[in-house]
Amino acid sequence: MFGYIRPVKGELYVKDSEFYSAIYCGLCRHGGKNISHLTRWLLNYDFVLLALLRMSLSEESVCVEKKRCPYKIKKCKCARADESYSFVCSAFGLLTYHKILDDIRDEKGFKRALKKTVLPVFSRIARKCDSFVGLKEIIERGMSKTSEAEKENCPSPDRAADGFAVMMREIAAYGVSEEKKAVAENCGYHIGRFIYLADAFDDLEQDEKSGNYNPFILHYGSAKDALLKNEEIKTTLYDSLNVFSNCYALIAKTPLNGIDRLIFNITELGGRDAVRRICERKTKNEQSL
Amino acid sequence: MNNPYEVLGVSENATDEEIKKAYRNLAKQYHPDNYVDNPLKDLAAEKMKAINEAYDTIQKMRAQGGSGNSGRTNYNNNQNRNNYYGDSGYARVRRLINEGRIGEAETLLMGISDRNAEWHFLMSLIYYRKGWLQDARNEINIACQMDPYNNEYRMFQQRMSSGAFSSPYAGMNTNTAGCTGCDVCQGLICLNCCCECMGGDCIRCC
Repeated sequence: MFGYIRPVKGELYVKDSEFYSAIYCGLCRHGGKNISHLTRWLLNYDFVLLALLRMSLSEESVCVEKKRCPYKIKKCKCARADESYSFVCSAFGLLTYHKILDDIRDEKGFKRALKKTVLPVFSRIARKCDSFVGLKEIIERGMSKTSEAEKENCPSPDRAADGFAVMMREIAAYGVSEEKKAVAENCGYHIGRFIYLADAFDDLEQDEKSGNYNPFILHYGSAKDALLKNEEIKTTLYDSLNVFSNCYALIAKTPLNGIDRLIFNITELGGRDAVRRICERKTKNEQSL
Repeated sequence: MNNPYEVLGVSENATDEEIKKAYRNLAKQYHPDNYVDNPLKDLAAEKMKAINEAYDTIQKMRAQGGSGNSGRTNYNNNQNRNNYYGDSGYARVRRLINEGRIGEAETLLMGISDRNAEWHFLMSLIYYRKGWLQDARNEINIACQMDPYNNEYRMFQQRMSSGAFSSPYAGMNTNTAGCTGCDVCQGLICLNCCCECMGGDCIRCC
């Protein structure tokens, strides 16, 4: 959907960097094989983080093997963790389908017509993702709550992000054992909150031009005022990452394994880097105006 | 009205000198000049008013001598009642938060109309538990401004800004970038080199 949270590869061990690529490849491969080849094109970094989190929560054994990738042509390392992958792929498929439904409802003109024509493809994907009981309801509930807040023109970023964040909380904690549930819920909530708010921050000017809903514009008055207060927005995004890594630290192994190091890299460095990237691009735009 | 001694943060047996000192410190802290362009301006003005009133009352009571005694007992009763309603309310909110009953804690806290630093701190805790971090940060900032010397509030404010200690990347985040001792030394060495190139000398010994 958005794809902000990725690791800072320069700070990773080489073995961890390779492991991350393998996990990405594995997820892409699993989605292509079991759901649809289209998901291979739509997959993004946020879901890799979700996959990492699920692997760590379920303590599933992850093995890396060499497989040929049709897109890269050559053979590449590819992780296998069927349980986590099939869950994340299902969540991804359902989320994408509901996103398209949402867009059809909100958008006008050519884009809407285009999305309407491809809708049957996505509804087929959604049908294939129906193997987890209750997952569909979680996503439907979350998406409808999010669009409700948007319709009400909710001026508080926290309240606007709540619907999406609660949905991610329930996805992350789906079927997790009782003792790890609290950690899963908190981590999931803050992934969701971060993604939602970072996306809103990224779309500031675009939303102001098109008159779309954006919690920061309503909260601060206009996109320009929101940019002046960018330190506040950055702080609140960093705070979410802090809660995530503080909660995750409770289930990290001692000594840390590859998954733990990747997750810490993403939350402590990658997420901040993404926020900084968004912010810098905006201040550059500001200067050019 | 609150106990004026409590407002100034001194004991009832304090000497005139101690009271004056406490008053001066507080007045310096909450002086309107410190709050220009600050959203808490009104709050600071109110606090300043309360401090002035408290100081005047004490002065008056002490000038009247004997009558101060009855006034004092009166305030004591008042204070006890405040404790009974105020503090036990906060203690209950704290207990509810610890038990994870956030919804109940929020309704209870919303019912308390006397909003002091602790109220804002507890509200911040509730928002934090709900994941509403922007509101949580606003509330904790207010609590810290109202009661800058409270360690509990400060600790919580700091905790919000720090990631996991066990992470291998702890302390690498540059959002709290500062000038370390190492940076200062490097700067001085560079300055010295530049000066020497130009024929001068900034640090004589090297």
